[in-house]
Amino acid sequence: MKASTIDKVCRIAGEAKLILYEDDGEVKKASFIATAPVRGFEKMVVGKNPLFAVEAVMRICGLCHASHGIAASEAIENAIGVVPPRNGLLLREALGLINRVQSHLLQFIMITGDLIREEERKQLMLKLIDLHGEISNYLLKLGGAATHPPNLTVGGMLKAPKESTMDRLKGRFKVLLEKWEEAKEKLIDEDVQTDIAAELREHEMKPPFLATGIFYGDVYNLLPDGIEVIPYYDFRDDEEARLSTTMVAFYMGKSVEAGPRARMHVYRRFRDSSLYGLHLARVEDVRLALHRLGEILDWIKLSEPFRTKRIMFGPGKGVGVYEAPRGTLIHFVELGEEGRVLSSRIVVPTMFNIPIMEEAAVGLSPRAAEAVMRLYDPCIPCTTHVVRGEGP
Amino acid sequence: MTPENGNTTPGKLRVLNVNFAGCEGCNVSVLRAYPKISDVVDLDIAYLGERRHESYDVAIITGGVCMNDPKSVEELKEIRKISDIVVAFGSCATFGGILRFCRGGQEPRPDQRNFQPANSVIRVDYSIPGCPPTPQMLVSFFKFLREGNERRLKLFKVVAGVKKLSGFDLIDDVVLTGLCIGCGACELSCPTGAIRLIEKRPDLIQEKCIRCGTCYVRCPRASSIICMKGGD
Amino acid sequence: MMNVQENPLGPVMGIYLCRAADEDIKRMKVASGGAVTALLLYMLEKDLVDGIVTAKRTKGLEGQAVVARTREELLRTAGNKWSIVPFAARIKEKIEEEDLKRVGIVCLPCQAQFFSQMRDFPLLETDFGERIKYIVSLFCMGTFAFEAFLNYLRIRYDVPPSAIEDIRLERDSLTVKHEGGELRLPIKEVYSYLQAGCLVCTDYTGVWSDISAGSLNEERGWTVMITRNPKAENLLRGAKEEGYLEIRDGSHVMGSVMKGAKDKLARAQRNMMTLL
Ligand SMILES: Cc1cc2nc3c(=O)[nH]c(=O)nc-3n(C[C@H](O)[C@H](O)[C@H](O)COP(=O)(O)OP(=O)(O)OC[C@H]3O[C@@H](n4cnc5c(N)ncnc54)[C@H](O)[C@@H]3O)c2cc1C
Ligand code: SF4
Ligand code: SF4
Ligand code: SF4
Ligand code: SF4
Repeated sequence: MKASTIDKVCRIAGEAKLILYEDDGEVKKASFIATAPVRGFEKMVVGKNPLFAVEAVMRICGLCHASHGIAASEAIENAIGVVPPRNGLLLREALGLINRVQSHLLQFIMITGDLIREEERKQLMLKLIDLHGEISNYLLKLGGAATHPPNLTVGGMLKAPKESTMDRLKGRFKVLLEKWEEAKEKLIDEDVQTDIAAELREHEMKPPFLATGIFYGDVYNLLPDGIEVIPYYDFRDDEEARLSTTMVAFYMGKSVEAGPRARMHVYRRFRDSSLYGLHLARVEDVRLALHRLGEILDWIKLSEPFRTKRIMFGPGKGVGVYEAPRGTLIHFVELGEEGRVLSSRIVVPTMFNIPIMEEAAVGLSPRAAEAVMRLYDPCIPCTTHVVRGEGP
Repeated sequence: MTPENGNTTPGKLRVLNVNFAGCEGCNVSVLRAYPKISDVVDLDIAYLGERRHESYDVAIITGGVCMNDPKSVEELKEIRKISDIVVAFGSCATFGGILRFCRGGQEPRPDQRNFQPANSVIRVDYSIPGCPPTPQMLVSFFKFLREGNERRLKLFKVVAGVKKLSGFDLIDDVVLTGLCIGCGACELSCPTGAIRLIEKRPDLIQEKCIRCGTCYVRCPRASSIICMKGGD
Repeated sequence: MMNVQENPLGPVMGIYLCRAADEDIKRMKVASGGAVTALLLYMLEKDLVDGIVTAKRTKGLEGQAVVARTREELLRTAGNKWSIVPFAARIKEKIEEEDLKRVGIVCLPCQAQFFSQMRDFPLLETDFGERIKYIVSLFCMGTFAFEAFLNYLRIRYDVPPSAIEDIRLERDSLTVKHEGGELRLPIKEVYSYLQAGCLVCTDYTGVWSDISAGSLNEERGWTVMITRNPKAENLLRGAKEEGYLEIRDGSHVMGSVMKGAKDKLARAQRNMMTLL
């Protein structure tokens, strides 16, 4: 087996190394090793007021901020036995869907470098950035900010949108959909795609899937005890893995894929099991999210409450499950006697996906293997260094 | 210091964005600004591809630095060496922000426990707080930088020498000293809604303050005092 | 343009003496020449802005931030409010609710600094900086810690708050009109009832505004206006051509304004040494 060096690769949300062991231009084994420092949000929130916990965990990730806010709020509500009113849940779902679209658009921007031929790339990218601005405006107006929406909180939403704001958002929805249709066409237009896209279309991969809902996520579709989390260095024994800063997760003793494709397989009749199918599933995920968002905007009744009154923090244990852009996100929380956070544990979808990504790389050309890493959209807050090592 | 004097191709500034232990929110802001500044800025950002130059006119640092990760610390120092102007963009990079709360102890790397803003490690020329600052903020910054408008950029230059600013400091320095005039700028500027004006004086909802420092630089009293002290 | 560091007046393009041409305005309780109200009216009526953020008198002499969208609403706001009017969250909501795309703002120098910072440097997504078209700043020697000031008038002069009709500022004195007559207080006497924060404030004219407006003893009935950029120049010229404003050259009062600015700066420096 030969060892050679290829360039550093970017375009992924996180700092990670990819080690590819290859023979004859075909990947035999891959190790995806995150190296971004651990900020320790689970430890950070201990002893704090649950409201701080919600603000803090949104800052775990600038891509799926609202998702963390939702899962954390759900977990805390579960712990103290509170359910937000219908409006609160609807608006919360809307924020989550907007966030899903925001995040997928960024993934599309990053993946165009692999899938779309150079001459078409820049144009499409600018379109996607424009669309990202358009959808972000919805989060700004409904959630209070385009990133880390502060109106999201325990018990529902802190503020109700104003009628005029709501009307304007609904009025503008058509423009949003048109912009999306335009971008979408280019995203799945096989005529402008690269050889890598072609290679990905030929490779099948059908792992077990984990999804708890199509839009929101549902704790009853998950067996929390079935989740097992271990440090990456216990999972892979590469020398490099020792410095890894990530954990990996398994469900019912198996590695499972979470994310758009999982949602589409479990809850829709989506049957494309090629690696390229990951891309198609994400496109479909955006389409459905926008559709649903449009409906929710009509369902929200501004005259009704958005937040449960009289919230008292007290002891209890809770779980919050939410379908984040990258898949099932789970927050566990325990509150102590004074209603402060006693412990917190967060399982993010990328933890499930890392073993699957590594598996998916096998049999591919190194370039396509790298592209697969991006297709899974791993989220480790930016540069992936691809190092080719000697074979086992 | 006019960047045009540097080793630039006339017209476009060579700009590098590097994210440290931030949440990506700030670099997404940089990316979103890109279409609006692309006629004056040549941007290298990990979202779009690899670094293309050996040196840069402006480096935009996002995120804070993990002091227990020698690689990050070295990388930041290296960026200082190859860049004429270093801008800390976002609260993590300027004042520490949410990273101020990190205390280590978490698997798989309990050793990573101390995160600092960029100016704890290197000299920073401009600090722009916000969690995250808006894309438009970066557009404005480059406009004033290219115009050489020091009057406009002074506040950001002065706070580049400050490592920590938050709602707590605002209360200590302006409200508890009796210097608050009750204008309401801080309430309007807090991204988490941690400040509320009660009877014309701000009150801090402590559990909501993520120490981003936005309120402090936006307070007319605090910002003019800090400018006067740090003024040349 | 002059640099602020060297020049306590900030950037100055032109200095004028203005007053409202409109008889309605002159008849009202304007602060000096009613020029500010006339200028705002011009902005509104000629559709240069969708609304004006300003202050309306509420109880006593305090104010509340409001958005005026019509002539009537605007005329109701003329005259000074001697306390700082917090342009807090409500104004932001108002601007968003009514989707005002271009607003003119009248405020005090400290607020002008904040609004212009928001306009130039939108740190937050929720900022409405891009909607702020004109910032008009009033000159300012300070705002009162109101309860304290009223209490002082009650104890020292037996003028209860409910009897006060108007407060006017002249060069070195404050005239309090009340039911029983008039009270002239030397400025020095009332200084201690200014907010402490105002005593360390260095900005007299509002250096971050587009236009600043104040009054002078030697030019009673006129408002001094300083334009700070070409946009402000055009605005004044337009208001004159459209018959809203009477304008005279004001170079001869530059010295007086400068003196006011230097005095305030010196006061701030003195106080900063004791307060900070
Ligand atoms: C607290 C205070 C201190 C001042 N100190 C000085 C000084 O030392 N030297 C000097 O030359 N001039 C000072 N002025 C300004 C001066 O008194 C006049 O306001 C100015 O000359 C404009 O006169 P005008 O007749 O053109 O204004 P008008 O036509 O009466 O219009 C004034 C406009 O300003 C608005 N306004 C009034 N008070 C406030 C407030 N507190 N906050 C926001 N908006 C407000 C009104 O609603 C109105 O729209 C001060 C004003 C205030 C409010
Ligand atoms: S300042 Fe806020 S948005 Fe920026 S990296 Fe830090 S947490 Fe994320
Ligand atoms: S009070 Fe708000 S604006 Fe100020 S530092 Fe805290 S979070 Fe930031
Ligand atoms: S911004 Fe400063 S002066 Fe204004 S209310 Fe807040 S603390 Fe007081
Ligand atoms: S003196 Fe300064 S701080 Fe006080 S109200 Fe006037 S401008 Fe504002």
